[in-house]
Amino acid sequence: MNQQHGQRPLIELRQVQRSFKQGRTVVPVLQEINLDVYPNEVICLVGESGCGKTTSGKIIAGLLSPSAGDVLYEGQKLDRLNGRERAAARRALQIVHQDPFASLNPTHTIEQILSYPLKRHRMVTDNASLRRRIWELLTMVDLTPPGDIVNKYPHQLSGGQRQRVSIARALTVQPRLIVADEAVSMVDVSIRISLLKMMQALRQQLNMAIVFVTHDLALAKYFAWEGRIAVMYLGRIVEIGRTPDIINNPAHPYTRALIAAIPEPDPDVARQKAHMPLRSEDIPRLTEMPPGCAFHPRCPFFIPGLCDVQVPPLAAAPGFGQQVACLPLNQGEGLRVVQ
Amino acid sequence: MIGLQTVATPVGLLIGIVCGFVPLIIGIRQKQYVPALLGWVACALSGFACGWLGGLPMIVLATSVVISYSHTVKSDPFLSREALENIDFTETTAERIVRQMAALGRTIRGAMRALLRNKAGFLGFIGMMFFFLMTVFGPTLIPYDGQAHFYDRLLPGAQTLFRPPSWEFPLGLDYQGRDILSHIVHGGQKIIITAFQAGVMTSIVAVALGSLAALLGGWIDRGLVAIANFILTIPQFPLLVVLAAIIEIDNRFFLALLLAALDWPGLMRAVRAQVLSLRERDYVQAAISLDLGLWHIITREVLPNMISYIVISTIFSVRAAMYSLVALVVLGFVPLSEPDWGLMIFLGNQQGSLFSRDALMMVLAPVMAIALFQLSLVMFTRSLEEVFNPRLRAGL
Amino acid sequence: MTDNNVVLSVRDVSITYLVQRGRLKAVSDVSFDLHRGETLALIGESACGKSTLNLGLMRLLPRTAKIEKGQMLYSGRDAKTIDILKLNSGQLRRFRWKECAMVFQAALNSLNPVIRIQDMVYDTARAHGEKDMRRVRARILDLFQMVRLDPERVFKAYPHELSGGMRQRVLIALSVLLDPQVLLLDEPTTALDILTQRVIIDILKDLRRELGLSIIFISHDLAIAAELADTVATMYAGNIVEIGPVEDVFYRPRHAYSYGLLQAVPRLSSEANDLSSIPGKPPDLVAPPTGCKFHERCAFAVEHCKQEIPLLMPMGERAHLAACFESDRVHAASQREVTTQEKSEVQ
Repeated sequence: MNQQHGQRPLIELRQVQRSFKQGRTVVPVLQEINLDVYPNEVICLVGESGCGKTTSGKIIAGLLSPSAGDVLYEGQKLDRLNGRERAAARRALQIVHQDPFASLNPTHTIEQILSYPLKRHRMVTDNASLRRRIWELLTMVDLTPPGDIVNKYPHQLSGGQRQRVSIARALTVQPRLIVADEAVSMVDVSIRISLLKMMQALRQQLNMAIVFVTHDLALAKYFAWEGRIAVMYLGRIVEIGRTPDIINNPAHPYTRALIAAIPEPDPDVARQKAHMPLRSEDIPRLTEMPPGCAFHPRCPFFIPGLCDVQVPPLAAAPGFGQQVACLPLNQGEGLRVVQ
Repeated sequence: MIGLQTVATPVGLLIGIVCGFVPLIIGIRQKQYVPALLGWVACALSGFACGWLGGLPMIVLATSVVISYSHTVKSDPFLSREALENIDFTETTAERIVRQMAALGRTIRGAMRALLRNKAGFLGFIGMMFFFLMTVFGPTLIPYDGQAHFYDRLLPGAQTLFRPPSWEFPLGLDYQGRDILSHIVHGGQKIIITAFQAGVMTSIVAVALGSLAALLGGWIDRGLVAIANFILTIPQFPLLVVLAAIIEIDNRFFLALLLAALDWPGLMRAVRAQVLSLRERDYVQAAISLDLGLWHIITREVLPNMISYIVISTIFSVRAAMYSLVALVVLGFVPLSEPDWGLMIFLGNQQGSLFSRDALMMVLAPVMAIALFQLSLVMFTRSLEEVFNPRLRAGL
Repeated sequence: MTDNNVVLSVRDVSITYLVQRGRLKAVSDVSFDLHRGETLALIGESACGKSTLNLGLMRLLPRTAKIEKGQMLYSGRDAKTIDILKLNSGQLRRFRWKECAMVFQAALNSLNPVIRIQDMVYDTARAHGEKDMRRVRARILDLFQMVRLDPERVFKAYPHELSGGMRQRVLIALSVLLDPQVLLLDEPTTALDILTQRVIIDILKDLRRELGLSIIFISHDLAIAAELADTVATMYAGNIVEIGPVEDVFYRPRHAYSYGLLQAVPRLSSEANDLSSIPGKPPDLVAPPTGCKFHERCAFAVEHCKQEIPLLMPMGERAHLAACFESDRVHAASQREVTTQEKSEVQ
């Protein structure tokens, strides 16, 4: 898929589908997702609510299993692994949740929260090394001095500090990949950047991959400038490629609309920015998916007879460095606004 | 709860006093005189009430509280600000035990503060303690008064010997001329203990089955819920009456078991719902992801967050069990033995105390005792959420 | 009030909450003017007092809150000036919705699921003394058109039949039903998708133009302020620390906190990636630090900042005020930033 890495992917999603039952109706949340995550890379899953980015993140982290398709860990199917290998794989894949107020058990102190996984997986030999390790972990996530933190309960920490504890907890089992599910969206604006910088530093230091799930393209651009972005819409990846390619030269009409719509914290830019009018402002329901390309009812470049018939595959497009799922682009026809 | 069928004995008091020396000596050595003395009193009282069963645990609790006052952190690397390499993380077993006891003591003190803060809850706690102390220590202070006191010798042919309250007998005399106060003091013990046994058994069954149903799912879940629903549809009290009539219940523990067997389904469904919602919490998901195991998830992640709910439910089960017990006795469906609050109502009713003003206390006193005890329980539950939740405990 | 053009004038308002540990000073000594047709953005992070201030303007504070002092002078269409804090409950009911309306943050859940939109519209109108339901209907259909909804369909719909963005638009239309002068918006776009956000922003621009509304909106999102606001006020720990025209605050910030916030937000349009967070966390408002409340986190702080409380002072010739002793150094730093950016763009 992505030639530059030249190594075996850590995690591969192969034709992954996932649906949830809602009463009697089956809601397809993910369809035919193919995604490779390489060791030590950073990849952002970007999209609006209901696009399936969180579900993909949970499948990558091993918290959900796909309804169809395969998840491969280091080239081996996850459901074929024996118990011990599976436990090892599960530990290698960690997740940091969105809500810092719900992700830590309110009845445990920070010391307890960090010591459970360390003790359970015998990462430490005795009590002294346990406490040394806790101290180390807290220092790694910039919670210093650790002595002020260990005996506190989660409610005594700020949102940003709790997110740091969540990351430290994930680090206890020395993971190879962390899924950060909107990990900074509930943290105050003024401290988001320091969290992101810390995660980047840890990624390089500990040789981890990070799958960053977010709805904020500007944040994705900042965090994954060296890595890749996958844009998702209604359960499919519509565009994937290196971050600079996607931000500077977006291909898929949906990505273009997103980039044009993002409000900028700059009054002059905001006033001059050209917005892309869509044909419809309403997102179709997952239970009533339009035929063909899911974006065609809203797409200003819609070609009748093509876009509403065939589901576009994720493929290269002439003139773009990234892969995109848009038939007119894939066929090299370019996009023309329909009247 | 089964082992608690003791009344205060001199041996128990001795045990308690001996146990109390542990926190007392530790406290005096650390110059924490007030906590030391309070710890000694607490040990003495609980030893007095329950013997070894009360004295030994109280040593740990009281000593922890005493230690927590003076536990300095000078040797605690967790609070030093030095560079990581310079810190000595080793500690002896004794040091570790002391540190953990200090943490326990701080938690107990926090819980006590939370208890004091909520006025209604504290009033309930006082009321509950009053009834406990009365049923445990009361019998040693106020002897059981089974003999008749005759006052109306001048009235030959008097049918009953009812008397209204007086200085000598604060709650008056019953139809046989016996002291009602002593009956109240002696008659609560069995009923309270049986009600607690029933409540605790209800909770154990409900929590165990509810957690299992929620965490295992599938046909186990469906089966348990179906059984619970079936029992819930049976009108419980009539069934109890029928059962009591068929089976000769001469064992109080068996009666508690019967009450629990009918009471668990409601709580079980509530526990199941709670566990189902807790299971989806992010921190449980994180525990799954960290591969901490099912046992850890139940005991460390799910149960601690339900503990206040479980205790409150237990107390409400106790309440329900007590009403059922009294009702069974009042209706005369279980073998009767004096003294007993329910039996007092039964006899008062039979002996026509409703028709004589002098006899009012014969029925009113046990009714008031039951009502006040129930009220204390319910008020006490109001502070429990604050006691068990660390965030509320800190008063935020 | 001397200036005829001012519709709402807030003077020295302080609001405290009674909490277990004491008094939490959520808003302290806040003053600002809202001109007719102006859009004012109150920008700040969680617990900076912006929501409390907004609720205070509508007198919708919870019972534990107390407005300690100050005035909120509102100048109605009849040119009479009233103090919102002195209204009785009857006057308040007339004031709310007819003079000043509010759209709440958790707006998506604030529609009753068992009531049709039309019944909600009629109920609202009736509750505020409107009698002519035909007029109400015509008006709301107009408004639905204006917020780009299919009027007939939405009017008859139940809330669950509408998407989140549509519900937000219904609420915005409903809030201007009785033609208020002032509209208060609490985080109008938070929790909405980007494309929906764009629609809401455009709708608010339309509404402001066509109805001549004066708008106060509060947000933690600088981008929304840049898009919508004429005037931006930055709030920190209960104070307005900087207020001024949007270009001044964004391009020539004079308060270290505003500057820090602007430095902390990633942008899509510029290559500059040297962002940085503000260290530390907001102060405890029960026992706030002495001097400038921001000094503990401030890179520009000097000894003086720890002792004296800075007041809002005029900066430059326009209505740009900042409460910072080191505003010149902040200004210099922000300008250096701009020049290096321009240089890199030239290269």
